[in-house]
Amino acid sequence: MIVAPGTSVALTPDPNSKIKIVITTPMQHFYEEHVTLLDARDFEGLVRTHYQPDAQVMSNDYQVRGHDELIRHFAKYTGLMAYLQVISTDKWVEGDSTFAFEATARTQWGVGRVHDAFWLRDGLIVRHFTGAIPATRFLR
Amino acid sequence: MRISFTVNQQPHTVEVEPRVLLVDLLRDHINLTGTKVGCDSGQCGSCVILKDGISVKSCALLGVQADGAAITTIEGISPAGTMNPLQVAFQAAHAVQCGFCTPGMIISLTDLLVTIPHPTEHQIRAWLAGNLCRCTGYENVVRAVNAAQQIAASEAHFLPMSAMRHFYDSYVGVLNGSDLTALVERYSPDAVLTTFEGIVTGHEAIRSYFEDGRMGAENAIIATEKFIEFGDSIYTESSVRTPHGLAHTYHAFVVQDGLITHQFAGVK
Repeated sequence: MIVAPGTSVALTPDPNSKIKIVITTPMQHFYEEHVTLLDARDFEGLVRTHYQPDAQVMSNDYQVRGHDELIRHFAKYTGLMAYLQVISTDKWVEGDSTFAFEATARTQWGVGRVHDAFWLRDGLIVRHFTGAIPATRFLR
Repeated sequence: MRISFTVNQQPHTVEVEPRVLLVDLLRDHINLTGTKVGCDSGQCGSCVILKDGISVKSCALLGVQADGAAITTIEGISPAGTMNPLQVAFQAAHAVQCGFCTPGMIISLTDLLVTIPHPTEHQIRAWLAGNLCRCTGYENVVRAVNAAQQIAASEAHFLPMSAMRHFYDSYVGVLNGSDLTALVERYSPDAVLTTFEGIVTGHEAIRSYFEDGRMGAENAIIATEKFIEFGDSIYTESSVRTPHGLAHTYHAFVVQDGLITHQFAGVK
């Protein structure tokens, strides 16, 4: 499934949004579960059920590898954010083993856009790249 | 006037008008654009170069004043393909934000470390009075100078660029040079390229993707502002010249056994 740029397929929309939750593919279901676990701060569950033991997560600011590092990273990351609310998923693309999205999210620093890309092996993430578009938009 | 001088140890003889500034001579006539023009009035230090080993602001000198001199610009501060300890320390200490002042800072601080091998923090800050950073990056620059002294003391003086950086630079070279065959050879036979235009898999599909006007001078990566590597992965943010103007892009690569197995790309 390819969603044209600008088309909203918000999977975990703002509760006040009129956008409906649309889940039509296994990858979207995986992503929805991912955000739900993150939102619930179930980092142990998130990492052990969604990432390979040798998985890597990297961005401009951090690079972590393996379950233990990932669990610590997600705890620290969401702690810094205070909260992370996905307002809309603005771009989405998926294939057999990869998916990527750009989303608009609200954090304590303001509203900004993020991008994430995933490579999955045997249904679990093995490489995860993430960043902001641009990061300064988070600064109000 | 005809003048002769060396730039990064290469001899040059040029005809230059007496009114041309040294910075313009370097950038416009010798095509060394690593030296930046910021204020153009001797204030900001973006244009600092070494003239006979002494750091000077090249916008405050005429080109003809370089006659007979040995000039070193940021391009020549370390041998090709290597970074000197100060450059390594700048990278490690995140002493770069937008990067515009960085060439001048590196050159100026190289002179500092030659003049005062073990400067105090006060001496570092005083030396940097002539180099303005409007990203407020001085703290990490000071840390980088201190780290550079440790690196220089503990390791070989020039550190090679990583294999991943060489791979990426080579990739950009063939992409910008429209060498489609060489570009496709950078990918594994079952490589997956994921963009928001779609996902393509394998050499033929990747070839078709790039054949469709996505390489060459009209789609050249003109600057890579961020390059981060971790294990077998690379994350970059780059400025790309397109027929529609400048685009800011991000790319992620997984490189295994010297070949790209997965690539993600998007426009910021």
